[in-house]
Amino acid sequence: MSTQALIAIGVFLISYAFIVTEKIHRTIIAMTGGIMMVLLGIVGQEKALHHIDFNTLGLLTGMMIIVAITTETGLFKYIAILAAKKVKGDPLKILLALGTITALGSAFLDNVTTVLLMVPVTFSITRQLRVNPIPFLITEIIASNVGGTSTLIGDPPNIMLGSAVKELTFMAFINNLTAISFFVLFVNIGILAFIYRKQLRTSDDLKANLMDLDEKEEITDKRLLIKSLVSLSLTILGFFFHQLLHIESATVALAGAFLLLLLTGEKYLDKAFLKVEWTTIFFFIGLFVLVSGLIETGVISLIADYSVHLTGGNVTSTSLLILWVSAIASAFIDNIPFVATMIPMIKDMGELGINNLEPLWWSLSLGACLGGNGTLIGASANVIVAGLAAKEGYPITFGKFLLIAFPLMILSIIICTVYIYLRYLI
Amino acid sequence: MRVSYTFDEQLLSLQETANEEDFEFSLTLVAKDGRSKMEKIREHFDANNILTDIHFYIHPNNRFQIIVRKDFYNEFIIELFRQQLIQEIKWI
Repeated sequence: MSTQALIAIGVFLISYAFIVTEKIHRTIIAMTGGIMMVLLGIVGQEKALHHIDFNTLGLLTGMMIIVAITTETGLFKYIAILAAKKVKGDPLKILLALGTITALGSAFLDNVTTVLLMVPVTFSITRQLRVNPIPFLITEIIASNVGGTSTLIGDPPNIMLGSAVKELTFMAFINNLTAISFFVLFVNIGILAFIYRKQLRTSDDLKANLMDLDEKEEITDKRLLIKSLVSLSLTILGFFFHQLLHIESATVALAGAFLLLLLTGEKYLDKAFLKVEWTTIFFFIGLFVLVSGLIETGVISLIADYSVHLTGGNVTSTSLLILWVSAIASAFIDNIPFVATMIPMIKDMGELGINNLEPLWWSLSLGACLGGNGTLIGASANVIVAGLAAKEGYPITFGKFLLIAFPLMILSIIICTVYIYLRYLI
Repeated sequence: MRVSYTFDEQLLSLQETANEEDFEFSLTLVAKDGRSKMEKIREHFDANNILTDIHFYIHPNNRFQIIVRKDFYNEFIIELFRQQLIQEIKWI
């Protein structure tokens, strides 16, 4: 192994260690690591820029702009209250409904954004019914990660996969992951409803009070709502047909975002750009450059070579190894750097003789996305909800979450193992 | 310290009940311009990034149910006063 490869591994591992410990913001670490790769001559600036996946960045930015403006309309509160009324104010059914809405939201929006929209309305509904909000919040965490697994745009690992592999189109994700994700979702929220059933009781008076709410009053700006819905619908339609139209998913998302800004006018421009999570965007940039150091020095090829040697190049054992390792790793560390490292490795495995990479890609997606449910630090949405809940006087401790979520995550991965095996490996 | 307040019954009706952790207000507006005042109160509490300070529920016929956490009681009453929905506040 060359000196440059050893330096690249050193920079990568130190950066990774800092990201895991969360002592310093992950964006600062990823960018510093990326810059070190360039300063130390591991990759040139031009090569580093070449490794940055602008499709991932464009897709994230476009969706963040659309969500920032749509949130202003009160749409999400309207949907939540309507759902609560449809199930007649029954807390158990509301738990199932809010879990399903969170999953659907996360399938098309960023998971963190979805839970940020759902948590306030959850506190509001549970307060009115005078039930404990924690079962609802835990259900929403799990639903957001499972829902995010179901589409190309639902979770950053999927966005990265869809961007890195031409064959993994929006429709490919729908055909391969949506049904299994929703099966996993209903198993998970069914078990959660059973576990929490005794806490989910309220009086008929409180139910009647909820039924009397006027959800239409939650819509704050009808004109803006129409514009947002038109742009959002066209964007989602664009995702369905992006391969047919020969355009990348980032182009679809950015077209949707700027169509909405064109319709709403300048007054939303600054507000929308302020809501774009630039720290996330720069985290990705740093990571792409960090991983490029490992690619350019041949480290990724070496690990891929070793992995293929370990599994004997057998697709079944390689797929299942990726599924389980991704799930366990993602339960404890950020799944974005993990997936950023795994993508070039799986590509190299293809060059080393594994002909059918499809099960490997789906294993990586299912493992990395669902693994995030294993612990309270497994995914950004988990950390955000736990932080908000603690601030409001409803702490979700690491242990309490682990006790419920880790077995559910293991069950989800067992279901996925059966799915991957039956669908792709026999 | 608690406060007492008075309001114009021509403008609104207001009932308050105390629970263990919070106070619950049922407010029905009679005056037409009260709606925007209620929106301003809601915006005031939305702006502070605390999700459980007050919960605001809109019912038909200009009725509002507001659940106010105990530590935000005075602030809520002051906001009602600021929007001229109540006329007088006194420390008791």
